[in-house]
Amino acid sequence: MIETHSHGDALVVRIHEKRLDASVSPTLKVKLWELVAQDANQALILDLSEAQFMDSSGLGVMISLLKLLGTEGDLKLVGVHGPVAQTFKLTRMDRVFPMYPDLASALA
Amino acid sequence: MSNKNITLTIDSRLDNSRLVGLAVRGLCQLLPLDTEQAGQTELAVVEAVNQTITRAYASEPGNELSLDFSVAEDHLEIQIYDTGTTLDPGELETPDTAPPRLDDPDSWTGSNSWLAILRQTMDQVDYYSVGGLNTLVLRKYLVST
Amino acid sequence: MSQMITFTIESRLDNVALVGEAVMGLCALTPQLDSNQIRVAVIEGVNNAVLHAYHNEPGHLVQVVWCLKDDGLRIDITDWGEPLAQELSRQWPDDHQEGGRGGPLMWTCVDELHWHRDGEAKTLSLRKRLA
Repeated sequence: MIETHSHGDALVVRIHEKRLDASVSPTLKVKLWELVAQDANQALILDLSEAQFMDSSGLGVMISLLKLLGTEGDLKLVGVHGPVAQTFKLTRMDRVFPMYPDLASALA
Repeated sequence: MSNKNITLTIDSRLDNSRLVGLAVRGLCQLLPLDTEQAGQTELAVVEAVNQTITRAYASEPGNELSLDFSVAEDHLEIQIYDTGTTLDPGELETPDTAPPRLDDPDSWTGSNSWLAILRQTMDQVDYYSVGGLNTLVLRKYLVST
Repeated sequence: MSQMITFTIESRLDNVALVGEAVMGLCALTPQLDSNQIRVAVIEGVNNAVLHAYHNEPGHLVQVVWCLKDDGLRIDITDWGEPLAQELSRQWPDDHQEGGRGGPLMWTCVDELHWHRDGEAKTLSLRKRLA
């Protein structure tokens, strides 16, 4: 479901799911929270480039992560496109999440 | 021209909303919708089905949820039926919340994000309950390309 | 793991494409299978139900149950009309024959085809094994 690698101070998490929906959201949330539990101060980059669909439950996972990291942590999104970008826009949460077209720009 | 119609039926498990979403995405290939509109229709249906399962059936499996997908000459009408707990009609009247602010986590999402999505992706959203049958109606006008 | 969804249409030929496209949408869950073959098989089966079981008469039901399990995909097409005079042939007709290709076409697209009957309900079951 997820694959992680470190890049300097940042932890890059690639999500290997095409659909971030009610089927996967509960498990995805647990896995992402486990990562944060290891180090809440880290910079986290979520790579959503494989995701082709996201509903509000998937968005809820992203928001829960953002809240969990709070002001001490740092969350960026990479590879948000198509219908996934649409969901962020429709809920106006594109104003809240820092988004970058690719990993290089997120790490810069 | 009479309407074309298909009914989709699933068990009230949240992971079944994916099946409905994919099937509706496939059905949208028959309609004059561009890729973005088809994606929005799929999202609206998934949100509506998720909301119905959680509200009507408290996410408990073993109940039936049906969706009618009806194509008329100038519009698509989707009706989602359940026989569970009725939606408070006032909930559909809830005004849109203010845009979320980065410095205010409480503003990031409300429990009505499903409704905001439906309002922005569909041309009409209605709900009624008659004799224990609840119906959520989504309508999208079609423009021939 | 088992996932299931049911499609129901009225017995009109212009509804058949709806079933085909809905099933195509679900093929996103089985990328290892040929989605067009699945659509062809389902459309042929539903056409059979409309044309032969119900003699192209509207007002009747055709039900299609799509079920995905770990070992394969199963699609059951049920009608409550007249039974087919004979089982679907695997044999291609002579070139000059206009009809008779639906059966062999379905056999080409699936791994198994089964008929069963339960009272008035007649079900054609299509199966594709997952590689």
